[in-house]
Amino acid sequence: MISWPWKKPKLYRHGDLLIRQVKKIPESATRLSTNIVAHGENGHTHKLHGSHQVFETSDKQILFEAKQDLSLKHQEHNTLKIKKGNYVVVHERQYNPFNNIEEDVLD
Amino acid sequence: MVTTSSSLIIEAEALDERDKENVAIGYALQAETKRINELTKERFDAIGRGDISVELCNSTVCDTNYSYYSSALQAAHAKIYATGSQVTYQSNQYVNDKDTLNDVFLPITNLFDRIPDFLKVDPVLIGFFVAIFITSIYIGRQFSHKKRIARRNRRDWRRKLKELIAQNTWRHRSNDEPGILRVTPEEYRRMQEFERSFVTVGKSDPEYFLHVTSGAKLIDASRRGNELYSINTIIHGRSLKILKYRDPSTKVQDPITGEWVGQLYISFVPEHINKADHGMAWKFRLTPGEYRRTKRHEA
Repeated sequence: MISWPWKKPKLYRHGDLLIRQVKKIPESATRLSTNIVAHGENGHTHKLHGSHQVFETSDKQILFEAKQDLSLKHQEHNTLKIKKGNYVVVHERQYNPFNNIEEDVLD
Repeated sequence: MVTTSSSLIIEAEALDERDKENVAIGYALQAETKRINELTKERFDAIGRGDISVELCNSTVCDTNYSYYSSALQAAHAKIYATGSQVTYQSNQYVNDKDTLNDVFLPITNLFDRIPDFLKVDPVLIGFFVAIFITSIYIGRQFSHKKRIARRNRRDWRRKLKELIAQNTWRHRSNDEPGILRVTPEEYRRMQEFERSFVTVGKSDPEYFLHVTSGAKLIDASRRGNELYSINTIIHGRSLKILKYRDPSTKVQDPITGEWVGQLYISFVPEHINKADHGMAWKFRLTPGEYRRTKRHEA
């Protein structure tokens, strides 16, 4: 579980994603050689542009390190500017009242 | 020598009989004019003191004076004009010197000096009207949209609670396990229809789905444009909460206004959520305070 060590981490919303600042990347996370932080249902992707490193934890959580100010792009959404730092990618969720479960939203 | 109260003095011996008669008529008219002026002054003074009203003066008393005043002066004017008297006619008045002239205009000056003090209003009366104004605002606020929604929610909640207690299903519903929902066949049929409608109509035209197809009730709306709706008719004793929100990163053109606005979406949220912004915070695993902070960083 990733902890939120300070009171007001930076928060960015990019469509169905929430980019949340974290103090550091867990050491157990593995490096991924990609700039895609999330995939959509219809082949669209959230891509990082700039100097960065993407990580993945054992519970499939995506994090990335922005070594400088980055931009996050998606085919359907506006480009988002992200400040230098470490971030975790949080997916938007929705509730299914008929199955009484929570599901991730994919766009 | 003929003298009057005025400052004009005429040597009577130097005149013949006709002139003497004319001078006498002139002084008589002058005296009459002065008397009428005094009457007029008295009338204005009475109005100023409040003894008589302007309306009363116009309708009865002063009309009599005025008609007398007017006819007497006209007659005097005709007579003096015929005899060539030096008593002059100025500003609808017969005057022969400065003193008389002052007498003529004095009442009018007094009228302006004695304007009734009607601008003073009783402070108690002002307080009374202020109290009525504040009370009306308070009553108006009680019928505001937000309070009506809150009252309706409380009413619905009490009714729902009574139904659940009467049917002994309260405990059963609250103990639903994740992924398991116990429903009757009728409820199952309604759920299927509703889910189908949600996927088709709800995704393509959320407004139509919410307001026409589903018959959902609005229970909360936030300043950020999020709205929370509730539907109680699908699963007995249970509310389906639907959140309507806009994605600011996906711009679409409004067909009516032509402006570029965020794409509209609807999504189910858990039943315990009662605020639209809390629903959005839940969707992104945020606290309501954190959700407020994302406002400046949305794309």
